[in-house]
Amino acid sequence: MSSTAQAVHHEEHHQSFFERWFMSTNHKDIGTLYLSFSFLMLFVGGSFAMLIRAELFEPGLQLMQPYFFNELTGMHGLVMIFGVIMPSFVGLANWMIPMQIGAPDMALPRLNNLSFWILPFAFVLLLSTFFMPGGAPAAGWTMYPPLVLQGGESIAFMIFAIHLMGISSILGSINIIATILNLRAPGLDLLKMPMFCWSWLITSFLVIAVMPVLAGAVTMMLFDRFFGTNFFNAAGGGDPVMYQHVFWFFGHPEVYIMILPAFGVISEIVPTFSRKPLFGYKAMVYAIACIAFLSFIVWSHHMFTVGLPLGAEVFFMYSTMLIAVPTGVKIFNWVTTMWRGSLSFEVPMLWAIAFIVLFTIGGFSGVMMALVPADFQYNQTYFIVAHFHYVLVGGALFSIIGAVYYWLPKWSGRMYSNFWAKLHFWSSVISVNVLFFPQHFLGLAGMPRRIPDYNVAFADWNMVSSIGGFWFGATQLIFVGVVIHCVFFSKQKAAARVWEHAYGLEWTLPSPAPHHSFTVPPVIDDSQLAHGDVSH
Amino acid sequence: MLRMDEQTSLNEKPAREPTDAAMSALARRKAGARRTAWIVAAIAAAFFIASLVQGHFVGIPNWVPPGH
Repeated sequence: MSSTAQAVHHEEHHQSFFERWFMSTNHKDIGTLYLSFSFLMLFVGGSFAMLIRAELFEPGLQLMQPYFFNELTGMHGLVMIFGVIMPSFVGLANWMIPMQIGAPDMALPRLNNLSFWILPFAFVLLLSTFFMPGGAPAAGWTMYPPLVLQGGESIAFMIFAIHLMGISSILGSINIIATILNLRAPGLDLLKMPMFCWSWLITSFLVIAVMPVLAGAVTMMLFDRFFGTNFFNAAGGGDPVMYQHVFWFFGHPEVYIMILPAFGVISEIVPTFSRKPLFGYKAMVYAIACIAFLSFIVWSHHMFTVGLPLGAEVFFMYSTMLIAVPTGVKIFNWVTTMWRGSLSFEVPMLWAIAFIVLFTIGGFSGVMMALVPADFQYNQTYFIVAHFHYVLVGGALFSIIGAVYYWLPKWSGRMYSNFWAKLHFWSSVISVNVLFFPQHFLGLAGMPRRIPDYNVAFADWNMVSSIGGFWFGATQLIFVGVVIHCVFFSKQKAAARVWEHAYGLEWTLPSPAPHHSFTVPPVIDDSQLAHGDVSH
Repeated sequence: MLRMDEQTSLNEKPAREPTDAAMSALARRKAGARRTAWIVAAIAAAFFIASLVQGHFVGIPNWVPPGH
């Protein structure tokens, strides 16, 4: 054994608990940290959602004052976006990208450690604002001035927390880009890469382009609040609508940052359980790139009612509708991959199919609100809330859960309980529709979002929605049980190639994947790759 | 369908060991990765500055120092 190989094994065998989990530079350990953190934050953000639905269970003020309700809605959004969806996809990227491209680790392992450990501090800062004089910022996750500037001084802590989250995301994305572009095993061309890697490569460029813009927006807001500038203060010659432009230049690509990796996950799962190669691999890659490009030129569809020039409204309406084309390509290709495939409905496939259905529902309502005249009716109603929850829960969250069920046996070396996993799926997929589908009706009937009390005319569907919410929330406890049982107690060992038709370098490794994998670049055998032959 | 035919030990190690030659090739690629990282970081910094410049045209000309 060479001296370097001995060093590798020496390190593997002499790590204390503290060294392994706090000072780790191993991509698998850091992936586990990211996933565990986002799992924890799911229940923090989820508990805010339970409180919101409890307050909305019936008309009138039951449990809390309106200001606290507004704090909850804003914090729920920030926690779910920056604490759950984004970190869990980064966790999946950390675990899977090096294994999928035959790299020994991420390109910049110490930076990887820093990227993760910024996050817990950011969220301690953010959540501590609840206990500050004046309470947490209460203007929603979009933090529009001048409303957000009218709260207490806790806004400074929120802005610093957002800076930290942004730095964490940017450092993570730099690492992913450098890893994919520089550390692929020799012979693994870009157009032989798994779709999950492609989706993350493109997502990383979105993060690089837009997170600094969010940082710019909140920095200007910080200066407005504490240093006498008037960037967004109309009384001082500033323009509050400019904040909305800068924010949504970040905010709309952010939506795709949360959904493109989901596309990658679904493109891994569907071919495996259809026992067919992915239909139109290259078209799928180009569709993701096309969606990413379009995401930069649609931001004002979030602002149709602020008084844009008519020409701008028409431009943003058409550019938004254009996104349906590459998205339709992806939906079509997933369905066509399944068409005449030898389908089997294991747990990851169930989540993938639910993703396709629910994401398509969310996508359709998105096209509806892309229409300027119609959006004047939908704007600021529960229809919007229903739309983005179908996309982010039925879409992003379902794909993350599907990814965990797909790769957990590879990570842990053990199989989970199929019965409990299927119970988790069916209970989730029914309850999520009970939770969010009635919100379409409420929105069309005119119920505004971000209010703690409402007209009695909206009472019935709100009660149904709240029951669905408690049901969906309780169901996720099954997920906790399934994962903990699988990792610590399951007796059923997993094979190296866990699923019958799973192709890709990660399935050539034993289960669980060794702490150090591909220390020597693998010899690429196209027949072992999911996209080794891209002529189809 | 779950495969049960090739079960593996939970502590199995990779079959191939790294050689010094392979490690030096890896070091070269990691140096390339560091260059890529700096370039991408510069792009991120450019977007941050661009957003502030956008704000400058509205905000800075109207700046009122605290206390005035």
